[in-house]
Formats: sequence, C-alpha cells, structure tokens
Amino acid sequence: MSNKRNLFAIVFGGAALIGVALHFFGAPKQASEPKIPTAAEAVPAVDVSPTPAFNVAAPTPQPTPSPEGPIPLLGPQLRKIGDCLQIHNSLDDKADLNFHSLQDSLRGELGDLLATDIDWQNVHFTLPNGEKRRLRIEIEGTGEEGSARVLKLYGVDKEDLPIPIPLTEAQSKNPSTEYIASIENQGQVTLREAASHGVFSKGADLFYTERNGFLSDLEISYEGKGVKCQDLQSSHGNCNCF
Amino acid sequence: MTKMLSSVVLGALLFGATLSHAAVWQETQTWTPEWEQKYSQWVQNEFNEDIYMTGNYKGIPTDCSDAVYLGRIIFSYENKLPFVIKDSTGGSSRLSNQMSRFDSTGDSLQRVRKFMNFVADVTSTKTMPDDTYPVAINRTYIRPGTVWSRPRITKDNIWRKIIGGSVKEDPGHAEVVKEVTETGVVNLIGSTVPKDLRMLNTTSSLVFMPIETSTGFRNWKQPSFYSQAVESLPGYSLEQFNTLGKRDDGRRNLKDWTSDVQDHLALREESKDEEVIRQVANVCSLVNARVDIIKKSEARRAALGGQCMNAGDYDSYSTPSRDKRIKTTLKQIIDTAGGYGLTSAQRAKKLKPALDSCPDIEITPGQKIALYDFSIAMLKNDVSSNPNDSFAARWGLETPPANKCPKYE
Repeated sequence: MSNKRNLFAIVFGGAALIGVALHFFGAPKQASEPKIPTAAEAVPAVDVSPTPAFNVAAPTPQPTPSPEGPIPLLGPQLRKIGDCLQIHNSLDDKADLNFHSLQDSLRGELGDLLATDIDWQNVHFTLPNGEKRRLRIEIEGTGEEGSARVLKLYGVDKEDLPIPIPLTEAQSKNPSTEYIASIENQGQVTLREAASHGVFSKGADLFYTERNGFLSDLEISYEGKGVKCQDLQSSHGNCNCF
Repeated sequence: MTKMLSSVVLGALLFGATLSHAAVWQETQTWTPEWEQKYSQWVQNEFNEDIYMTGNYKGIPTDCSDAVYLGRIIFSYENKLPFVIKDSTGGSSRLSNQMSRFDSTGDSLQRVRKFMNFVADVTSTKTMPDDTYPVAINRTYIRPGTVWSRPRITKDNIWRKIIGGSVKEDPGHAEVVKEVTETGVVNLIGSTVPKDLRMLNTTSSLVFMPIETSTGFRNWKQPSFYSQAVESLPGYSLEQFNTLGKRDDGRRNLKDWTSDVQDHLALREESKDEEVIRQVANVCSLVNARVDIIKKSEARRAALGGQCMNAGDYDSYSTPSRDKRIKTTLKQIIDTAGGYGLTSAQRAKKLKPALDSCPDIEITPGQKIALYDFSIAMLKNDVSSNPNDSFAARWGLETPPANKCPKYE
C-alpha cells in the first residue's frame, strides 16, 4: 500500500514538474494573444466611395452544400404558417427551403414584399495561405438618431474564435458593396449568413435568417397573429403560432 | 511519508497553477436558480450608475448592449460562474470565460477587462436575441437582471409601404431591469449610443411595445440552455408579443401593453401621486442625459464655424426622439395629475412642486436650469432639437433665428 502511495506521489509530482517545465521552457503558447494583422496588411485600402444603401433585394448568396446532410424542404411548414396567420397561402409540399419559395406561397395573401433590409451579415472565407477570415456587417447606432452600416473583420484563432482585425473608420463605416466584395475576393467563401427584415404590401412584418442561401429561421406578424419557425435547416425544425 | 505528502501537495499546487492560466477565469460554480437569485440581488444593489466610472471596472466605455453584457460578465467573474454566449461571427464555438487567448495577460482583473472589451466588440443589440429568451410577465421571471431589449427600431410608414424602397432603421436598445416595485413599475438601468465612458441612466419608461419575438423582456441563457429547445427554458413565454396589450378589436398598443405589464407585476395599485413622482424622475433622467449630447453638439457646431451640419452630424447631434419622449412623458404627468379645462402649460404650473424634486440641471459649467422652466419651454415648443441652432435655443432659452440649413429627419 505504501509503495502504491509512493508511486502515485512520484507519478503525480513528476507530471506536475514536467508541466511546469514545459510551461516555462517549452514552446511559446499558441493560445496567448495572437498577433493581429493590421488593417493595412489585411485588407485593401478604401478606393471606392461609400454607398449608404444596404438593400439586398440583390442576388441571394450561392448555396453551399451543408455538411449536415440534405436540407429539409419548406413545403411541410407552409400549412402551419398559413394556419398561424389565418391566411390561405398557396401550398406546395415540395417547396424548397428558400426565400423565393416563401414569397411564392405568401404573395397571394400578403402581397409583394416591398422592401427588405439586412440586419446583419456574416461571411467566412479562407485565404490562399489557409488562414481563415470572417467579416460581419451590422447596422449600428452612431448617435441619438443616427445609424451606420458597420463592417468588422476578424481572423480566427485555434479555438475557432474571432480575433478582431482593426479597420479604419473609412473602411468600416458604410463601406460600399464593391469594397466588401474586394475583401471577400481575397479568399474562398465558405459561409454566408444574413438576417433580414421586410414588410409585405398588406402590412405583414417579416424577419428571416438565411444560411448559405437556405432559410434557417423566420417570423411573420400579421394583424395581431404571428408565426415563428426555427432551426429550419435541421430535421427538428418547426413552426409555432404566437 | 512527509516527502510523499509534500510531493503530492507541490504537484497539486503546480497542476492547479497551470490550470488557472487556461482561462479568463476558472469557474468553480454553476448557474442554478439560487445563483440567478443572487444575480438579481447583485443587479439591484451593486449594478449602479457608476459601475463603469469607479472601482475595478472604471474606464470601460459602453453603449447600451455593452452595459448589459458586461454586467453579466462582472457578476460571473466575481462569483466564479461560467459566462457563455453565442459567437456572433458565425463560428461554431461559443465565446466563454474558458477561452485561452488572454492567458498571457497580467492578473485576473486585467484578463477580465480585456475579455470585456472583446465581448463588447463582438456583441450588440442584434446578438442579444441569441443569448437571451423571452419570458412570462410575472414577478418570478421579470426581476432585477432581466434584459429589456430590441435589436432595432424599424420606421415603416405608409408612404414607404406604398413606394417600397429601403426600410430606414434606427439603432436598437437594451437595458437591464434594476427593480420591480410593489406597484409593478419596472425600473431600468442602461447606457446609450454612441459608445462612451459614461454614468448609466435609470428610467421606468418602456418606450416600445414588443412585436417580434427577438425583443422585449428576456432572461439570460445559462450555458446549458444553448443545447436545449428554447420552449423548455424556465419561464419561456411569448405572451408579451400576443395577449398583452390586446383590446377587444384584436389590436395592441403601447399604452395598453404598458398598463398590462404593470398589472401583471403589481402587488398593489400605484397611486396618482406615486405615478407623478415616478414620471418626474423619468423626465429628470432624460433631461440630464440630454446635457452631454447638447454639449457635444455645441462643440461640433463651433468646430464647423457657421457651416451647416451634414446628414451624419445631424443624425448624431439632433435630439427629436429624445425631445419627443420628454414631451410625451410631461403630458402623461399632466394627464395623471388632472386639471381639466386648463392648457398644458397652466397645468404644468400646478406641478411645479413635483418638478422641483429634480435638482437643477447644470447644462454647462456654472449655468443651471430648473426642470420646471425647461418643461414649460418644452411644452411651448420653444426647445430646439436642431443641432444647427444655438446652445441657448437647444435649451429653450432663446427663440432660434431661422437658419437655412437642411434638416435630415
């Protein structure tokens, strides 16, 4: 028994000492605050004039195959959406899980979608040297009444967490579409997600999130009734009235 | 035996020391209903206006969402609880106190301050719906520490609906419930935009009615909640988006919604006098917060040397929403106090004793105005929200001369 205790003490103490030795004399820790590329190194200078509009009735991002398997259809959810809003939207069990299918189903009852604006947008891309980058665009408050479209750029550490890369105000505040594209074009885009809101001509409010071109969440409010659909890209996605 | 024991102790200490540097802080507790209760008590007693101005967290600039997120971090850090939020940049990992990036940063307080800066950078009112969830309106779930937020204000008017085009958006807002009084009043504490080093403000004014389910009264997700269906979380409810504020015709409005919330939370009815005192405190807070904005506006106006402000400056330094909110609250006070047959200004005069409970407001060093005088000027439409007008006009102390500068409202 005594030998076992001694053995335990030696093994445990030895492991601790090795740990300490590695801590003080070993390779530098990768996890320590990583070197952050400066804006000048990381992104192109601003050479295009800012465009304040951020309306993306523009092209839907190209769908990227999901690693989690086939994307479910929107069709099975359309009936529930209609029931919750108490409307007779058109039903198509084979409707794809995309924004256009949703619009096609609702147009007859709610009218056209008059305007959509992005709340936020994330784009992931990988540089030719393998480094990962993420950009996020959000509407941020700049004062009592003002807001601006703000671009933020991030590297990614070994824990898959974002490392802010500083941008100048000219680069980050109300960047033009061309400027954003010039950053994305530095690498291969691996993910696009965006949350948007809009209003139908008959007054219904729509909020939705897309991931790689497919709907992932949506919410519609219309004349005091509401429907909320979550996790639509997973097999347990569902819609509920509220 | 002694040698063996000392080896074990040394080993354990060194092993522990190595571990303690593998996180912003090491949690030794887990979130439980009891810890949520302690969090509530902490917010009510310790999360005060000066939290980012004095003490350990002095000098941390905030906007509205920062103040909310960072408060939760402070309590988690000080009580060795985990802090976990979704990565808003779309990564699959969660941001937490366990991240190792700040390992090489000084002492634990320096580490947590760096972590707070990092979290403030990657969060906003738009990320809050992912880290909180809507709860039922009762005293069990609406408590100090509950978040009151909206990701955005969307201005959709009939003209825009007719012509289409972009839906103009104002910034969102977030505050923390500081207190739920026995009369069902929810007192809130929070910061504002732009991000700055500032005292937090308090108010009991709920200025919007939640419509979309990403808004409203919300409680924090504990780390384990992220892997659960939101419907299963304690107190989860969508009642604030549908049944509350709804009248016989099925429509909802802010006044009825606010009244319903107060009814749900009240242990007794609020008297008229109590309501007047409360609303005066709201106006007092709103006008005091206006001081800094007008000061910065005046500095910008002086820097422009007589030139008109551009759209960006105008948006930053004009105050139409705040001024409308002050005026609306003043009218509510007047309505509550009664006095039919009199003009608003005449009825306001009867409220002078109540308005005088707000200490005189120092609008610039050496110059103070009484809330009563400002209120009368506001009710007479003598207060300017236009940043191109003079300092005196902004405070209703002179009639602004007509300026030819464009308005961007």
